[in-house]
Amino acid sequence: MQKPQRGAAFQTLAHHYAHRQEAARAAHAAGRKVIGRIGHTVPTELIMAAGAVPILITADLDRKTPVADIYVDPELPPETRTLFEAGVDGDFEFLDLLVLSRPYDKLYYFLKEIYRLGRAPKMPPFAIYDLMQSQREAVRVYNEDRIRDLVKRIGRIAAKVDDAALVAAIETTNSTRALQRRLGNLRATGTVGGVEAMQAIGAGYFMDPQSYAQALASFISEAAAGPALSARHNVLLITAEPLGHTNVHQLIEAAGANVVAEDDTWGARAAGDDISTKLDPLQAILDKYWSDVPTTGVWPPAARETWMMEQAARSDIDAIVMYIPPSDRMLGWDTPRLAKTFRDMGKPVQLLFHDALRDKGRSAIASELEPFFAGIPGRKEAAR
Amino acid sequence: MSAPTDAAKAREEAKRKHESLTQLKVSHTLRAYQREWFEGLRKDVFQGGQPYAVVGALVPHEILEALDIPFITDVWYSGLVAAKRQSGYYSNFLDKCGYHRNLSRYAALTLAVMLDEENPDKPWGGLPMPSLLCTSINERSAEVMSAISGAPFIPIEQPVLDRPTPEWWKMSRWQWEDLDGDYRIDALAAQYQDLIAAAEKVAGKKLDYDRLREIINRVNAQEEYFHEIRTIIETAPKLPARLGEVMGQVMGIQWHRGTEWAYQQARAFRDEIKHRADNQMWACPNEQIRLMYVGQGLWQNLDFFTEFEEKYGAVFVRSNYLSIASDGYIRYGGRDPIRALASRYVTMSEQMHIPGLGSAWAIEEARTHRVDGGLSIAGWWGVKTVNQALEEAGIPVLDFPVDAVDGNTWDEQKMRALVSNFIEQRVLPSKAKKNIYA
Repeated sequence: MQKPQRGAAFQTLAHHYAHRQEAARAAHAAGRKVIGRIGHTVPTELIMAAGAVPILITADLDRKTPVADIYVDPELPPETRTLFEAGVDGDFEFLDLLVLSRPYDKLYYFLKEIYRLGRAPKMPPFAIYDLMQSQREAVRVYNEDRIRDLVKRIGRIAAKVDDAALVAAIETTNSTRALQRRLGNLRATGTVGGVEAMQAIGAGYFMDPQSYAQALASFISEAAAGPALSARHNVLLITAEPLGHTNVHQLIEAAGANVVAEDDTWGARAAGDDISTKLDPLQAILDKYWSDVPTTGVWPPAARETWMMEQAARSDIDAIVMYIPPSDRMLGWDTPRLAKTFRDMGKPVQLLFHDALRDKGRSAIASELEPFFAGIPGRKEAAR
Repeated sequence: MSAPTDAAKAREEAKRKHESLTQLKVSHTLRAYQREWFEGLRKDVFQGGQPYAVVGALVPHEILEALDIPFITDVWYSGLVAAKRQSGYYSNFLDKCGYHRNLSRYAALTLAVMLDEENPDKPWGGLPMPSLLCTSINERSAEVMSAISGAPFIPIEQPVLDRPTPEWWKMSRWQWEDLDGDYRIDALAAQYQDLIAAAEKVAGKKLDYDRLREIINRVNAQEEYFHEIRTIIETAPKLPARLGEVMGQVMGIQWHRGTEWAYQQARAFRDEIKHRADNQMWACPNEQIRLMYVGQGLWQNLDFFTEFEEKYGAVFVRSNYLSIASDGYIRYGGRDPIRALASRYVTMSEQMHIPGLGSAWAIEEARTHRVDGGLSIAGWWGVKTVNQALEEAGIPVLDFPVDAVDGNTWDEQKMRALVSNFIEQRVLPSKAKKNIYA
C-alpha cells in the first residue's frame, strides 16, 4: 500500500505502541504509582481517579516460556503462557498493583499458585476484576459489588477515589474516545491505513492519557489534511483473539486490501460510546465496561454481534476476513453461521485458520489472501 | 469419515469384550435401568413430544428433577456416544459442518447428533429438538443448539474463585459459605432464578421448594454411599472393583442423582463393593501396582484400564469421578435450598483442576489410595500443574495423549505401548526405590 510520510505525532504513537512499558516505567522511576491491567474490561478511569498511572500489560508472544511449559496446559492461549512466564520472571515488579480481568481468570489461577509455591517472588500484589458480561439483570448486583471492591483496592494502593476524581477521569477518557472515533472516520475515507490506525489506537493503552490525547489529535489533523491512500478493497476484520499486533493487517495490506474496521478493542472498538455523564460516575463506568467492551464473554449473541453486523452492512465494506487462529475455542462455534450471514448480505468472506504470529502461518495466510482479493471485483478496477 | 456400519461392528466387538470383563452385578442393573430410562425417554419425549432439556454437567439438575422435566446432560451424552464408538464419526461430522478441529468435542457431540439428518445409526435413534438449554456460558455449542431449536438458553456464569483454598474438601460439607464466598453463592443463586423461571414455563407448574430440599438431601445421602465406597477402595488390601466399572456406575447414578432409583442404586453399589472387599473378591488377585487416573474420563474405552492386570498386576484404583462425588457434591445445613445448590456448583469440577486446588487434592488422593503412579489425560486446563505436583510428591505421571471422547485420537497399540513403557521405566523403578527406603 502506498503510504504517506507521517510526522512526529505519529512517530510518538508508533514508538509507544512498540515500546509498551517505557512510559509506565518512567512514571514509576519518577515516583508515581503504576497500576497494570490485563484485559480491556478493567476501567482505566478508576486508576486515573486514584492519581495512579494505568498501563495495559500485554504479552510478548515471541518470548520463550520454559517455566510455563511445565505448568500451563497447551490448550490455553499463547498469551496466557507468555504472561505467566513474565510474572515468574519478575517483569511486573515495577507495578504497585496488577488487576486481571475475567477473560484472564485462568492466568490468575496459575499466577496465584506459582506465587503460593514461592516460585514467583517478584510478583506485585494482584487481583481479579470479575466483570460478568452477560447482558442481564441477574448479574447486576455481583458486578456492582465487584467494581466497588476494585475501587477500594485501588484506593488502598494509591489515593482514595471520590466522585469528583471519577468525573474528571471520565471527561479525559471521553475526549480521547471522541478523537478515536474521528480516526475511525478517517479510516473510512481512506486517509489512514489499518496498520497505522492500530498503532495510533494501541498507543493509548501505554501512554500517559494527556500526552496520548495530544499526540493523537496532532496525527488526526495531519492525516485529515493529507492525501487519500490508493484505492483498495475495504475489509472488515473479525478476530477470535485480541490483536495486540499488526500482523494480520500487514498481510491484508500486502495482499492489496485495507482493514477499515476490526471487531476488537485494539482497533475500531477501542472508543465505543462515551461514558454517560448523566449517571452516578461509578455506575456509568460500570455500564460502559459491562455493555460496550467486546470480549468473548458478552452474551447474548445479538449483543456480541450488533456492531459487526452494522459494519458488515456498510456499503463501503468490500469483503470480510475472519481470523480464527488455532488457539480459538469460541468464535469457531459462530463461524459457519456468521460466514453464511455475511455471504447472504453479498459480502465475500475469507476464513483464516493459520497463526499470524508464526512464519509458517503468515505464509499460509498470504497464499490464501492473494487469490481471495484477486477474485473480488470492484475498487481496484475502479481505481484503474 | 468412517461409515456407521464400521462403527456398528466395532461396537459389537467392544460390547462382547466389555461383557466378559464385567464383574459387578450392579453393572447389569445399571445397564437395564439405562435401557428402560432411554426407552421411556424415547416414548415420552422423542415420540410423545414431551418437552425435555439439554443441560451441562455443572448446572443444578435438581431443579429440573423437582419440576419433572426430563433432561440430557451434554457431556455425559457425548460420553455415551463415545462408548458406542461413534465419536470419531460425529467429530468428523462437526468438521463437515464447519466447526473447526480445535473446538472441544467433549460436550459438542450432542449438537452433532442433533444436526445429523443422514446417519440411520444414531445413538438411541438420535435427539429431537429440546425445549430448554442450560450450560456454562462458555459452552458455545449450546448456543448453536438454542439457535437451531429455538429453545431458550440460560447460560451460567461461574464467578471467579478469587480466594482459592487448596484443601477445599475439608470445608465443603459444612463450611461452604466460607469456602465459596457468600458473594459468589449470591451470584449463582441470582442466575438460578432465571433458570427456574424458564423451567417453570416448560413444566407448566411452579417449583416446589420443599421437594427441591428433599432432592438435595437425597443427593447428599447418595454421595455418602459413594464416600463409603471410596473409603473401602482406599483401605482394602486390594482393589475390589475395576475402575471402568466404578466410573460407569458412578456416572450412571450421578446422571439421575436426586431420584429414588439413584439413591437405591448407590446403596446397592456400596453393598456389593463392601461384600467383595469383606470376601476378598479382588479385581486382580495378583495386584502389584496401584495406579490413579487423573482428568476427564476415558469414555471411549473404559475397558482399557484392565489391559495391564495380567502382565504387570497393575490396577487403576482411583478416578476423579468417584472422589468428586464424595468431596464435591455434599452440602449440609442448606436451609435455603437455592443457596445450597449454588454452593454445590459454584466451583464444581474446576476444583479438580484449578492450580493449587487440583494438585492438593490429587496428592491427598494419591496418598489415601496408596498409588504408585498416575495416568493423566489432557483436556482440562490445569492438569499439567496437577501432574507436576504429583511428580514433585514422588508419584510418576504419564501424560496420556488422547481425547476423552474423540475416537479419532485413539490408537490401541500405541496407547498400550505407552502405558507399558511407563510402568516398566518409571513406575516399577520408583516403587522399588520406595520399598528400599521403607
